[in-house]
Amino acid sequence: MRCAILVAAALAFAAPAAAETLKKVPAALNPAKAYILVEYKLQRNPFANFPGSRKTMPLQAGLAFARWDSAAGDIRGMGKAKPLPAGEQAMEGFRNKPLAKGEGTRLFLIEVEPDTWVVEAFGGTSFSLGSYIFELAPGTVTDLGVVTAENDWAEDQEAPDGAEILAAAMAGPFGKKPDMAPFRLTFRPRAADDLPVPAGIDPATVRPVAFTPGAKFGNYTGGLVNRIEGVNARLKAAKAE
Amino acid sequence: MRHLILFAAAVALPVSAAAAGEPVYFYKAAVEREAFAGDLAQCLDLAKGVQAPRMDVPYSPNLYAVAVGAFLAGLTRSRERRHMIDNVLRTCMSDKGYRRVEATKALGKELDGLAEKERVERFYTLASAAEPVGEVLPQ
Repeated sequence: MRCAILVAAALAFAAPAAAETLKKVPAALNPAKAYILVEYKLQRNPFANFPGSRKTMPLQAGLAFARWDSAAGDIRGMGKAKPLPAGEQAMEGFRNKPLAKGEGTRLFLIEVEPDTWVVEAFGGTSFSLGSYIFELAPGTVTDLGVVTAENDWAEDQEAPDGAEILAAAMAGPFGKKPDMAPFRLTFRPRAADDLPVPAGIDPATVRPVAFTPGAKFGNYTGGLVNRIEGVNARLKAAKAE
Repeated sequence: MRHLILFAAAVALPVSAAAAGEPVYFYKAAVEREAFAGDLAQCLDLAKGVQAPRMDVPYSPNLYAVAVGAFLAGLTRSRERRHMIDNVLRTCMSDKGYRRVEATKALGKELDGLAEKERVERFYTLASAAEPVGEVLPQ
């Protein structure tokens, strides 16, 4: 029994290191790893007008990435895709450990395995209806730029106001539930007024992301689903034209 | 048969979203039956994966208080899951170009009187009809 525990412990230590969200720039990039640099724009606080309220919401949710099996057209280890070797992670969830903070923005550096990756989810929304794939090369930093998350409200829905939230809380499980909306995302390249690429990163290793749209997969995170650009936002835009 | 049950579930699920109680179905003018079945199966697959967030019950030394708390948490979680499933089906079917239609009262009555298999068949016909029978709801 003791021997079995020791073997299990040894295997655990021998397993490849999991992905990591870095709180500081490493002295040197690991040539066997790939790095994702992404800046989040914080969501506006809908109650910012109340005295003493903050302008933006704290960052409570973020991007979840997954390794993509291009041949099978699915997330590795899920659905019709082949499983990964033991000890390797197919998904990289959000960890709230920013590298740098700015006015209404947070910068993250994530160390992962070099591979083809997909933007799987944000908060409680899986982008199963259509997401972006991107390549991560070893020893490089791929800059996803600046991401903004917004609720993708349907035609007849809108964000609940303070009174509605309070009424729902008071009524408990018997009251009318406020509307819910999945997230949608907008990515844009880093501009001069955004947080700069940290000084410790060699600019020669940084390259802008090249997204390939159209990845579809199952609802593996168990949340709401959407297209990354927003199904409802697209419908509204089409109607406005 | 499984497909019929899934379909029945799909047409029953959005009903909960309609407070008035008339059945709500998905509609796309002149859609092929096979295409509709395929689209619906894909959306149902996504809806099947939905898991409502866990509801924590605060600790209490009183067993009855814990039981009531757990019951209400279970009720809330189950309701949350139904709400999420409605949202997934609505978003997914909207993405594929379907509209939600709230059936007329007469149609509602007609559907109530049908056996499950006939009801499903009727929904297939309604989904691909030239004109929607009822009020077209916001997308």
